[in-house]
Amino acid sequence: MYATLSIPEFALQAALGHQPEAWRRPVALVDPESGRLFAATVPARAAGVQNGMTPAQAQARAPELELLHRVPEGEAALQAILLEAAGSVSAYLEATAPGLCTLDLQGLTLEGGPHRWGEAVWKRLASPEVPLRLGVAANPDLAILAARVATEREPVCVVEHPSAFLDPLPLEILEPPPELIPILSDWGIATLGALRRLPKGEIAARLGVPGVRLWERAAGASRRVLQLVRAAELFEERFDFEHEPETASPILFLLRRFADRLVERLNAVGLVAGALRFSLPLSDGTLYERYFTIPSPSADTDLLFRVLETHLETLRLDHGPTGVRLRAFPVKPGFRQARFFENNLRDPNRFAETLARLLALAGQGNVGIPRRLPCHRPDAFCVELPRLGRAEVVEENASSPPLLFGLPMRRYRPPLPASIQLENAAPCHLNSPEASGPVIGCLGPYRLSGQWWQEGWSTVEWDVAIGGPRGGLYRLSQQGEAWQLEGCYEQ
Amino acid sequence: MSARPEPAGQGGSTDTGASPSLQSLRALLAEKFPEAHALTPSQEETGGFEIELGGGRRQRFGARGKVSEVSGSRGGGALFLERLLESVAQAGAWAALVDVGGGYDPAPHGQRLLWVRTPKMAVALRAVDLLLRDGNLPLVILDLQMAPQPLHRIPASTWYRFARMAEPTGTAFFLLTPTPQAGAAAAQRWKLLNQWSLQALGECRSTLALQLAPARQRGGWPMTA
Repeated sequence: MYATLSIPEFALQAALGHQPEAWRRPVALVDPESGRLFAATVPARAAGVQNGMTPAQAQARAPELELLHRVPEGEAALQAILLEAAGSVSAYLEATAPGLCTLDLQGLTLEGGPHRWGEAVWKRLASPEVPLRLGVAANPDLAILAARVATEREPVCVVEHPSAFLDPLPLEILEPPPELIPILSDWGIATLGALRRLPKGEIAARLGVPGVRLWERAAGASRRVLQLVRAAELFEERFDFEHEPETASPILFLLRRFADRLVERLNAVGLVAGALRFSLPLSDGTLYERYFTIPSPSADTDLLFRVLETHLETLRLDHGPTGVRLRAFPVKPGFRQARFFENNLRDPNRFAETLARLLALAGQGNVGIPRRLPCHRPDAFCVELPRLGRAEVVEENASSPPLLFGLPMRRYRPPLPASIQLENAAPCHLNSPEASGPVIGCLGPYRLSGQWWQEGWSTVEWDVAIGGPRGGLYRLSQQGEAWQLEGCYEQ
Repeated sequence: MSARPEPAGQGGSTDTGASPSLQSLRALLAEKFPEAHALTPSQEETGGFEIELGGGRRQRFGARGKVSEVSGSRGGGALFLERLLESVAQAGAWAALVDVGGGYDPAPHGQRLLWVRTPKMAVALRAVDLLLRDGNLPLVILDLQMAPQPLHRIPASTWYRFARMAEPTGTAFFLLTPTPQAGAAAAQRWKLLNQWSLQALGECRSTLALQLAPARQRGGWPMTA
């Protein structure tokens, strides 16, 4: 058995999908390449507008006709949604045409028979935004015809008796080659039944291969192999506001709904969310976008929503959002065998959430894993955010830790200005906001060079012991004539 | 008394009755999986982190789900902090250091150290709050040694609140201060007695670590040989 999913008025759906009132007005789509009308709404057709007309011809018949360009991006997105929906039914699918997708149902159990199964599938996949028609038949071409015949009232059409189904259908439904239309018309052939009753051999002798193909389709006997495609895995939800929201509440409400839907769709295909992309188109035409990696990929609605909620708590925007987009990037649920003595985080997702809160609290660059840079410059380090999830594995430290000398220092960042009195080219008295007093002992000078392109010593450092009540062990540095208190060992 | 023999090289009691091949196997395992031997059985039950002191003695600091306070002279305690973080790193565990003043000088062993630096006391206390609530990290350290604001302005109830938060998650919370602050909220209190001289800056750091002299003032465990 084969099934065909189709979106009626595909190009119009892509262009007018979110404007239900537009369907009640005479609207036509113009193909920018040919400059001719491509599709028209029912009121436009009622006014005499036909596909293939030039805009001038169409407006002569319907002066109130609205002309719009085709929306290729919208059509591509709608086609992706159709393929994704079809992919949740069967893995063997063909993108037959824009708005038309044919499925091979081999290996599937059609529970309750083709009718019940078809209705159950339609109920699951159809939505007010994406109207669907479903045709089920014994071969692909028959299933396509069934989907075309399906109506809004009866969106599922199952062909159990091909002859009875095909005979009354008009010949135009097969879209015969233009050169055959006048011939068949002269013969008085108007329906598929009339064509089927003609001998196949005679058709072949008079109309050749195109005629035989048309006859086979009219007889429901055509056989072809599906050109299989892989369903695009696009897990995205979007909503456009009529008015810009002033608080985060409407966005949170939508995000909760989005998370619910995405999780439902992910569960249907046995995947989990590995990352989320949250976008807000802003009123000034820019796009605010944020990418969240889920440390431990999950299809838990609460968890995904919490990630977004935590971010929104601290989000401040200069311009109001005009819409919300949320995309989940699916991954296969991963199970990594932990090493026997591995001491990992109990709940990486919760830790990621805490990390986001800490970042919002302390600021970027103030939270993370400190790493020394591979150089000998003092205080050369960077702060990196932890890589959680699958990458969260302790790196094997092959080399032994470096041998360190002296007490570890606590640094003043930035270094504090200090005034120094010198005696025999060595500090003898320190005065600074943190410490002051006579220098009772000092080690140095330790000369440091600057960058490789600089000549000479750029910095001179001293370790000093300061006496008195505000004394202790400190490090001083001298750059030119300026002295600074770099850090303290002990006060 | 532990039912399990102490691993080799950990300063524990040695199993003199074991055959040489068994001893060599233990030594090999200790070398291959140091993280498995970082915690002794008693530590596994109560938490805490061992630091090696001079003379082959080892001292365990902190406890799971408890507040421990280590005080010393202002600006001091950096060596103790480094040893503590090293002990955690050996266990392969995560730790968080909330650093008021941001004076921490990153050490080479920082694979799993989450450093939060801020000049504001309120931000630091809020960060500790978040980390203790999170419960993922076995060790959270609040370093107030370089705090620019006076510490007596922190309400005493803060430490009791932290103690209550650390208990259910089992997080060991360390407080490094110039003077004791946590009062009775601290299950353990230690005072660092070292007075370092200028000559210490020329010595090897691992040698200096053996000279650490923490004095137990409240709770805690006795030193082990």
